[in-house]
Amino acid sequence: MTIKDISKKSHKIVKVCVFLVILSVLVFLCNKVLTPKWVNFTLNWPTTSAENEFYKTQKNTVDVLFLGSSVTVNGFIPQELYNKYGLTSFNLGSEQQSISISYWWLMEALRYQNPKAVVLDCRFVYNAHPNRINTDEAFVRKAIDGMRWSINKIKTVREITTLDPNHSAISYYFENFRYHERWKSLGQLDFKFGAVKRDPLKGFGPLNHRGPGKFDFRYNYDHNAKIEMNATQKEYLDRIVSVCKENNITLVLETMPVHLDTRGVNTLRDYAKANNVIYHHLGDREELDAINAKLPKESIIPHANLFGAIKLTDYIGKVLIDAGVQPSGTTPQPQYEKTRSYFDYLKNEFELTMIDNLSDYLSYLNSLPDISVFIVVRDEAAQQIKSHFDKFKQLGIDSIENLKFRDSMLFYINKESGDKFLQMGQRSLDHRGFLINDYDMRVKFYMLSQGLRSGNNSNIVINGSGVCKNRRGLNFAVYDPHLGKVIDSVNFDTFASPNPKAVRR
Amino acid sequence: MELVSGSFFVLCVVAFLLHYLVPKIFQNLILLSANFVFAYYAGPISLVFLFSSIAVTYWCALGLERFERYRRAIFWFGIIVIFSCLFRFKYLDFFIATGQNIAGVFGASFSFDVRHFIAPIAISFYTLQLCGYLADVYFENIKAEHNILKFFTFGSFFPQLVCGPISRYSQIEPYLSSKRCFCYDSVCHGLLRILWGIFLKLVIAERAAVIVNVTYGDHVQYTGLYLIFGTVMFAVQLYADFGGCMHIVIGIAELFGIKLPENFRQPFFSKNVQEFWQRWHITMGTWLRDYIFYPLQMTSIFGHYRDRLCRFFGKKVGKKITAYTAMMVLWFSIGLWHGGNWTFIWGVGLMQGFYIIIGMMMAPYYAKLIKILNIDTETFSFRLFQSLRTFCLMCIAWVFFRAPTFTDALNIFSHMVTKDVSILSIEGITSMGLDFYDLVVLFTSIIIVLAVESLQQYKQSISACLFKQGIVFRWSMIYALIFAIVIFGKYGSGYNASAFIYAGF
Repeated sequence: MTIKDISKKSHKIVKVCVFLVILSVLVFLCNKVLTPKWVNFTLNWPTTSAENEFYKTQKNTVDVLFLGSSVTVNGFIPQELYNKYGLTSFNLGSEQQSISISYWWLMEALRYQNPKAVVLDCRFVYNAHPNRINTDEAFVRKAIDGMRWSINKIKTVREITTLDPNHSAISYYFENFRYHERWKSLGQLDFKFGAVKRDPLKGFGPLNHRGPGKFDFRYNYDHNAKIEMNATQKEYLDRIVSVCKENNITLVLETMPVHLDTRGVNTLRDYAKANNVIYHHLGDREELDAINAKLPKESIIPHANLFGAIKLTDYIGKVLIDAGVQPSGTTPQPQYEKTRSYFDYLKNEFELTMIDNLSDYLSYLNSLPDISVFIVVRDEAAQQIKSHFDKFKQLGIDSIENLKFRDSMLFYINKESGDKFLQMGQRSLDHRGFLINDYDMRVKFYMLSQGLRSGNNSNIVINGSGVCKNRRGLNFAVYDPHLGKVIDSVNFDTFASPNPKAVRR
Repeated sequence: MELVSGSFFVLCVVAFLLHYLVPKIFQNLILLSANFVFAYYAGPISLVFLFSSIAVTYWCALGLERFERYRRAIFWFGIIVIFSCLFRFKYLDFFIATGQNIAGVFGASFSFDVRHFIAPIAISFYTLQLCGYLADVYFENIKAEHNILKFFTFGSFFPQLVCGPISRYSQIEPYLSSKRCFCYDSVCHGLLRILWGIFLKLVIAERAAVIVNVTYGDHVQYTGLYLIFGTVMFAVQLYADFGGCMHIVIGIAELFGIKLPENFRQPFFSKNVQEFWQRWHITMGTWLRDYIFYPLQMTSIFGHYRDRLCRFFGKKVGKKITAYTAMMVLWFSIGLWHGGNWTFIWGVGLMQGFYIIIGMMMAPYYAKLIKILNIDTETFSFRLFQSLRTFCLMCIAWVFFRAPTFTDALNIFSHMVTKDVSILSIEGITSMGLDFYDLVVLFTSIIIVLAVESLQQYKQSISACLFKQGIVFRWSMIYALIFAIVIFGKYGSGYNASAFIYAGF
């Protein structure tokens, strides 16, 4: 072989290598785009942003891990636990997270953190789905796709595909096998890689609904009634118990109110006793009294709202402190201090959903600095709002007195940018626009107002979702660009009353 | 093991690497091992029948050379043994059912209980291939192959086992006899062909199949233009599926330095049905022409038949009728080869024969009409008319090919001639299983394929043209093809895209 032949051959080898490297990069990027992102500002149970935030957390600084299903995601607030007790924590819950998924994520978490305690929701130790992983394939993917590639993830994928052959192993390694059909529904978020990396709430998913007036609990337990645990899930529960014991981690098993019948509670109590672990059923009378959540603001059933979650977190924090779990790091912890103001801001914003009358509502809207407010009239709204003129003007509706009987009205204000739009009249009105949120995403909106004489209809669509109550009177929608979500949608029937009550259902 | 599957991919990669890494003397052994593995995964029965048929053919061919006295007996013994397997698995039920129907017409009945078996994979293809070899040896067109390894490699060559092409030993033998060195350009061409084949299969054929299955599956609801559109889509599906399969097969063979004969040559550019079958499934057509059509006319039976017809109708007409009769026997065989079902025998068999015979009979009248109307036959518009006419005739025939029964085919035709044109609305066109995005992809892909085929028809090989371009353009096109498959391909969970239509034969 001559030097020329060797040179030709090496030239070809280099070409092939370069081609394959470029192809690999492109496939990687393509899969990054195609894989769905579950983020805190679009979903109540964000796994992508939570898991990314977890990996950014400083190593060996997390004292407590929360694992479990959606009730865990909505129920326990790492920021609140830190604010009240100085305990650092992370919420690694996810929708329909079975015990097996909790185990896999515990093993993953232990590669980066050495927690003092694990709080595990045990709802899914009982049969919930007809497969051995005890949850749907979609929820397994939601939880596992964000896990970084490592020996642990390879083991996890192998276990998943062994437990449920409906899962395709190759689709975990090459996500396009699972998600290539998503090309039809790709959105801005799929191309904003930065947006999915942040989760200032550390896995917590805040809900802003109002609770019911009261809730009836049945406290008549049959202490002898038991129910079988799902065999595979019990196996994983045993593994979690074992891992916690090996790593000197205080394990707290818990079940949320309502979710479990007494047989499940009894079985878990026996299990906890046999394995010498702490168990709390938060639906027990004593526990509920200790949690002291006051309806309708502090709702903890079935999914806790923000204010209910504060109470739950305070309670579980006390349980942990009583169990001897102490903050391991020095306070203040920078990664929790820098998100304190975000949490306070969130609490402040969510107070809006607790306001019931129009006057207080308008006052509160006027106090919030950066929100976008959408108001559309349906049927009739003008007759009985004279007493609120000042507040409407303060909000930005300068010519509110020009709103006539059965007129349509569109109003939009973006307090952050100063953009404003106001239209009134007898005919049907509609308007389209967009605003930019903190994640640098265009949020498209559409508004429609029709007074009684021009159609008797209304609509507010924000980012493709209808958020208008579409009832008679004034229909409000409030969007927060920092949180990236609609924080309230409410109707006030100003035809029926000058100070009407809020309707949110 | 399907052609588009992970396990087949692994087999090809391993075989490819070993093929060029081992000393060249072992190359055929590597290929034979790959053939064995492929056949084994098809099922032990398939493996047994395949290698038994090859063994019988091999020994019969040697016997033909060695035992001059018994040549005829050995030849017919070999043919009968090989064909009997095909007959038993594919045609026995059909002939029994046909016999029962005929007996029923005359008021008689009989029953013949036979155990039903699934036909060994690829039996239709390798039976013709082996019989063709035996015939070539018998008629002394080639010498019998003494090298058992070479012959077994030819008979069981894994890429072509499932859907052809039906190659002659003389076409493959030179490659099996020579030492096959790694050729970078061949490998690149082969890989490009494989990609193109996968594109045709996963992006076009699978999408078209959805429309075909929906419309033909409910031809009571889908009438008029829906059925016409469904029929056109079946033509698209058939070509993309079978053509795609051929590209993959020929591409894989090229990786191993073996050039298989082409099976398609831009069939939809044919001017008439006769030309169509010179461009579609070329190897099957030429096999049946060389081993059925021509020999049949040389037989004494046909000789007597021709003499009688010449005496009755005159020499010219008598010869024509003889040729037409041989043609109908040929087309009957082609239809029967596709399967033991009257829809196949009529749709891709006898009906094609009638098309060709009528075309031949009407040719002088067409020529007169063209002269009278002063039509320029060299114009694009006339050639387009001819191609469209041929396409329509083939679509009509393929209705029988696709319909489960003859009655269903006739019902489909009757449902086609209604005034239902609602397919022309967005709701209509998207009611056949594909949404708007899928339809855009499908139509765009069809246009791309048409453009490529046009270039192939009128200019030169598209791959040769591509490889002459600069590296940036070339790689961009290849990456575009890869990502078209990755993003738009119908594969992954919920699909079983790997089965090719012609693999069923």
